[in-house]
Amino acid sequence: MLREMVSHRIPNTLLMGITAGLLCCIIAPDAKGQTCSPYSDFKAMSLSELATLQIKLTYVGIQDKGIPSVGFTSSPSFDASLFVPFRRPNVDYSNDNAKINRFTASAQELQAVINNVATLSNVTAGGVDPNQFLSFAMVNPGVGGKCFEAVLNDVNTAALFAQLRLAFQNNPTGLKRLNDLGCPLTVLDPARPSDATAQVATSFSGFRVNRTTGRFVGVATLMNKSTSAIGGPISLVVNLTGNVRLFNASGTTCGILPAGVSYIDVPNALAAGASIPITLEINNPDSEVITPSLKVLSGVGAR
Amino acid sequence: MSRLVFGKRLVVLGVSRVLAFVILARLRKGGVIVKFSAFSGRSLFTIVLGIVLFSASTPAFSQKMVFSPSCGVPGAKVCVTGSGWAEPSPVCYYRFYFNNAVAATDQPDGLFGPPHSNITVPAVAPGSYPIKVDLRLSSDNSLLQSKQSGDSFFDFTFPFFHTIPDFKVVSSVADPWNPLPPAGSTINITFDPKNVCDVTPCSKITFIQVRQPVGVKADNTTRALTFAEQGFNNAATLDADVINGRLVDYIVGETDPYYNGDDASDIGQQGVQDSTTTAATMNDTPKRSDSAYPADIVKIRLNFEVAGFCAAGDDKGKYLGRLFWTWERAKGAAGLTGTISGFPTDRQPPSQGFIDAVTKWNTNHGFTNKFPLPTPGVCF
Repeated sequence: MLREMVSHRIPNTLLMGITAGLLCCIIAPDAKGQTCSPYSDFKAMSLSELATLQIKLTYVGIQDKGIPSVGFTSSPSFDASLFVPFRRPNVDYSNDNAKINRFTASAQELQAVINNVATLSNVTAGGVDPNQFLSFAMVNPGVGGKCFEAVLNDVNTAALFAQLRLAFQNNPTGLKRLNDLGCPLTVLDPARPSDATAQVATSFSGFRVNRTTGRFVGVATLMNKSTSAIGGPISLVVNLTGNVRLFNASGTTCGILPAGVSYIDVPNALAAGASIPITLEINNPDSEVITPSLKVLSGVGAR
Repeated sequence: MSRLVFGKRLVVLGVSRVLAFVILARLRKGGVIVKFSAFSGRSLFTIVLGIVLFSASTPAFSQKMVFSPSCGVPGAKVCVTGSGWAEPSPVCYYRFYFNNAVAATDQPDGLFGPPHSNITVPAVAPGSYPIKVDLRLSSDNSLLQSKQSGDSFFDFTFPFFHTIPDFKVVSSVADPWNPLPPAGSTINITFDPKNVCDVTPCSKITFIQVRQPVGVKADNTTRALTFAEQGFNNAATLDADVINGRLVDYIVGETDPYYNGDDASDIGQQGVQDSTTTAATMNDTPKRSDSAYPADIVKIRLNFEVAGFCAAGDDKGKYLGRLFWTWERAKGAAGLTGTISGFPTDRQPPSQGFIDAVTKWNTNHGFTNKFPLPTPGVCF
């Protein structure tokens, strides 16, 4: 009865039009990914507008274990759901669903990202490279929800990471997050630090348990026993045994061997005969004997 | 030699008891221990020290007997261990009882130190049953010391005095691999120790996943695949971790082999089995593009073996069970994600291939002296 009423009252052409309209509405979110704003729109944003900018890096290539994405913004919290409506149909974003490592960036740092990346025409062109490797996506909910995405190949990803590292050179958490993603993608800084272990005497003092955190806290003092300065930045690589972990690590090694060992950074150089204290916080849940094996790295480059 | 050690130990225990009596005696005033309000920090410390020494040196409290797990089905294995058993010079032996019946081969003294044996739960109805350990003289079987369910012992862990419970026989043990993963392109794995009494105390339940990449040819024969020929980044590092076609599933740069370990790149949640329980979780979405297929390969298959593993706590070093799954994608299929299937689970130790892959990873990544070994005295 109802079917008859519908077929009698609505002409077939109108029915097709309604169906087409509904389909457009359903498809629109994905199609919107191809109609994002040009990169220049983001370059034109003021500092106050950049305060709401959100940027996400997603590995979209082949994998066995998933590789967590990285998200950053200067607003209170990174919101991954803002990117979902702009997902492209032929790009796999499953790593966003597994885990996103987040950090906070200042509006100035976000502006530095925009300006630095603007030098990479293969990135600012947007689009999808046939050899999909990394999605570089931006959304600014504070400026009409403008979006931008470039799905890059591995070569352009390496160039992008170089510019991002420059933008976050004074943001240790940001650098750590970038390196955590850059290590498995082999897009680390191509430079390597030198091994300065032989030039340094290391001593430990004041180790005690912080009753609030339950972690061991103490000081490792590095003393330059050589007659020449050791160039900065300096990193102390702390290899621990058992279930003992360096809690306040700046990162884990990837560019030097052995990979996967925690290190802590000291930004300054160390003059001949000078000493520098480094506070170490150590997680030792099983109260094991702490027997660190140390290495000192000097100079810029991937640890 | 062992006799000398035991002899010295008895002397030490004797001295401790004398010292404890002296300390407690000095604190008595007219037969009454000093009032708490009058305690200085020093006297309180002295009293505590006295109680500790007294308890630790009194055979009734110093002998410790523990068993794990605390429950199980008939046929399950129960590890019974202990400490603080002062063996005398004459040759003696340990005897183990379940529900007052001998339940294991006698353990000769001196060879293995304190009691340490596996009991097999007999075919009995569900309920609570006592476990007992006797130390007896070999010459005439006379009883020297005994500890059983319902007795107490002292040690330095809160609440210091512990009552030995009965063993609980149950008709079935809950399956920690619950719920099983749903079908799809992403696998979600849960290991929930809640109400699983034979998953013993552990503060860090992790997963270790071992993968075996296999290439399927047009004639359906198979061969192992290297990461180099699939075009992986870090292929050299990954291929160096392969042994007999298998390797630990990890991301280069990780500090441990655990899938849900402490690395920023780890995925999932670590589990806990203690007074509170937390389920361990992980998920995985393997992906391949057509360019990852060597010329002779029409399908890539990844065979996975996942093991629950206790990485910290009382039962560190213990494998808790296994789950198997498979991922496949045919060349030319839409998208990068394939299909997953399988999911058989059991509570057995990992396969030898799995163990070899973990050993290889630990060696290659300097983790051998970090990988937790079972606590001494724990039976496996």
